[in-house]
Amino acid sequence: MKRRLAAGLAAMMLAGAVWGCSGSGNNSAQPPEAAAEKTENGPGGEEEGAQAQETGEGQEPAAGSQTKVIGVIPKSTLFDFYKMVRQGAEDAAAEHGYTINYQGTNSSTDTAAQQNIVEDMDMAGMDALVISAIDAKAIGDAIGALKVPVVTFDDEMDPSVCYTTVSVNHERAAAAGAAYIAQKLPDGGKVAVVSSEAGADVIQQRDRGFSEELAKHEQFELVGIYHTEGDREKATNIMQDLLSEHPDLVAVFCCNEGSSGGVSKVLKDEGRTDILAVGYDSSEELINNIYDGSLDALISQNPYGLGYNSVTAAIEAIEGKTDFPDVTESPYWLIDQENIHDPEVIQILDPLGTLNLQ
Amino acid sequence: MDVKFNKKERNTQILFTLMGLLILCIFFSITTESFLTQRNLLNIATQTSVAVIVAIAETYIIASGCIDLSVGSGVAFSGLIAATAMKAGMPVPLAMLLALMTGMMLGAVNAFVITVLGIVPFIATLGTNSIFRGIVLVIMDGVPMSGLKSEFTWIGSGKLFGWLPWAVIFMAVIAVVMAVLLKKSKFGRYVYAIGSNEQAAFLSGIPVKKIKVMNYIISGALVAFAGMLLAARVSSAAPTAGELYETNAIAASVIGGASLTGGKGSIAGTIVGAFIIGVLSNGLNLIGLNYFWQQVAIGVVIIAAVFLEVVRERLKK
Repeated sequence: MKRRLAAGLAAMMLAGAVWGCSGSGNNSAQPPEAAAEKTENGPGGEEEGAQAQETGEGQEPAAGSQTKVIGVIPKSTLFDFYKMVRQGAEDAAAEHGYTINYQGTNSSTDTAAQQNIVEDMDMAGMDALVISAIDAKAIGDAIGALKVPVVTFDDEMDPSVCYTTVSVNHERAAAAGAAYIAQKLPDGGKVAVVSSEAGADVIQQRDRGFSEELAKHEQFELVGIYHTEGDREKATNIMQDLLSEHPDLVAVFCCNEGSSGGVSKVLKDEGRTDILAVGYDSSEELINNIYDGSLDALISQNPYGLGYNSVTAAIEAIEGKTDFPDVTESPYWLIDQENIHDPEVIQILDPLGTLNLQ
Repeated sequence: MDVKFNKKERNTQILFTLMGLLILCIFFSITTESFLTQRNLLNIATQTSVAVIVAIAETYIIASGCIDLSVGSGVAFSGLIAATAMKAGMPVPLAMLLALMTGMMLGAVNAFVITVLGIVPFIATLGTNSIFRGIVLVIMDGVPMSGLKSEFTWIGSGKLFGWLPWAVIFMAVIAVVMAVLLKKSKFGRYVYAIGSNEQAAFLSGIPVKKIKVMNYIISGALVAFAGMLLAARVSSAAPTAGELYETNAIAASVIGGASLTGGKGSIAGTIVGAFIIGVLSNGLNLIGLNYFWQQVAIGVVIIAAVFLEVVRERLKK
C-alpha cells in the first residue's frame, strides 16, 4: 500500500510538473471546456499525457494506439440494477471499439473507498470516466483533478467538473410514486417510507420528492421515513415493526432494490398484500413480486439505458464533442400490473431476456 | 480469573442483566401501544434469533479466552453456499448440509491459523474475516442472490401452527443444547478451564489444542446455521449479510457476563444480552426513532450494562 502510494505521489508530482508548464497550476476544478480544448489539440495533448504516464510509472500508455478504456464506477456493485448498468455500458463500449474498466465498492455508503477507486483508475490510465457518485460533493475535487472527460449517471454532479449527468429526476420519480398511491387510494390513510442510505444524495431526493407530493394530499398521514442503509435485513425488521405499530397502514414506499425486496417479503409472509406497496428499481425478484401482487408498482430507471447512454456520452466527449447539457434527463417508468406485460416495458426491465420471470 | 464455577455468583449476574431487560420492556410497554402484543414479542424473537445463535457461538469462543471476529463473514458465507447449491438444483436438505459443513471448515481454518500458525485469535480472525468476506464478494460478484425457494425459506419465515415462528423454535433448541453442553459436559468444563488459565489447563493434562479446534468447529457450525436462517428470513443471500455481527455478538456475550479475558460467560446470560439489543432496536423502531439515534442508544446500553457489573463487583469487595 505504502509503495503504491509513494509511486502514485511520484507520478502525480511528475505529471504536475509537466502540466504546470502549460497550465496555471489551478487544477482543482477543471471546466469541461478546458479539458475539451486539450482533447481538441489532438496528438499534441495526448502525447503530453502519455509522456507523463511513462515517466511516472513506466506503465503502458493509456492513450495511444491500443483500445481506449472507459472507467465505469457504480455507487456499489450490489443489486441487479448495477449489473444492468454494466451490461449497457459494455454494449455501448463494444459498439465503438472501446473497453470498460468496471469497479465498485461493496457498500453504497463508503465514499472514501469510491474515491480511492477513482484515484487508482487514474493511475492505471483511462480515457474517460463514467461514475455514479455516492456523495457528489465529497468526490467533486477528486473528479475535478482528473484530466479526462467525466460523465456522471444516476446522480447530479457539479457541472464544472463533469461534462454531463445522465440521470432520472429522482424527486419527480418518487413524487410519481406518491401520486400513484393517492390515485389508487382516494380515501387516504397512513403511509410509511422504508428508505435506503440516509447519507446518499439520490435517496434524499427520493425521500423529499415522495413526502412533498404526499403532503399535497391531506387525507394521508406520513408515519415516518425509516432508513435501512439499503439492507434487506434491516428493511425486513422495520416493516415487521411498522405492521405492529401501525396495523392500519395503507401504503408503503421503498427507496431502493434492497428495501423493496425486504418489504415485499414481509407483506407476502404476513398476508398483508392489501397494503399498497410501491418499490424503486427493478430486479428479477421484484418483477415477480409485481406478478404475485406483493408489490403493486415499481419505479424503474431503465438501468441498462443509463449505462448505455452514459458511456455513449463519454465516447462522444473523447471524440471531441463539448456542447453537452448539464443534465441529460433519463425517463423513469412506473410499472404496475397493468403495463408490466407491454413489450416496451419488458424491454426496459429485461433488456437481455436473461431474467427468469414467472 | 479466579472465578471457577461459582453458581450463585453467576445466577445473580444473570438476574441483574435480566432486570435490565425487564426495565427496557416496561419502558417500551408504556411508550408504545404495540410493544406488549403477542405479535410484536414474537417478532422480536424472530428478529433476534440469528443474533442469538451467533452470540452463542461467540460465547463459546470467548469462554475459552479466544475471540472470533469472523462470525459476520461466516454468516454471509453459509448463506452463499446454501443459495448457490439450491440454485444449482441441489435438494434443499443437502444444500443446507453442505453449508453447515462449509461453516465447520471455516471454523477449522480459524483454528488452524490460531493453533498451528500460532497467531493470536484477535489478529487471526481479523484476517480470516477479511478473507472469507472477500471470497464471498468474489463468488457473488457483489450482487445478492434473491428469491430463494420456499422449501428453504420456511426455516426463517415459516410458522408452526400458523403463529409460532420456526426460527424461534430453532433458536430455543440450539440455546438449550448449547447451554447444557457448556455447563454439564467435560468439553464445556475444558473450555472454561482453558479460558481461566491456559497454562494450568495444559499442565493438568487437558488437550488444549484439540479443544480449541473443536470449539472453533462447533462455533463455525452454529454461525453457518445462523447464516442460513438469515438468508431464509429475507429470502436472499447477500454478500454484505452479517456485516458487523461480530460486534453485536461480542456485546451480547459481554452484557451477559462473559469476560474477554476468558473463563467466564454463560449461554443464558448471552441470550439475555442479545435480547437487550434486540428489544432496544425493535422498541426504538416502534417509537419511530431515527436509525442513527438507535446506534447511539445501543452503544450507551452496552457500556451501562458492563459499568453496572463493574460497580457491583466493587461494592462486593
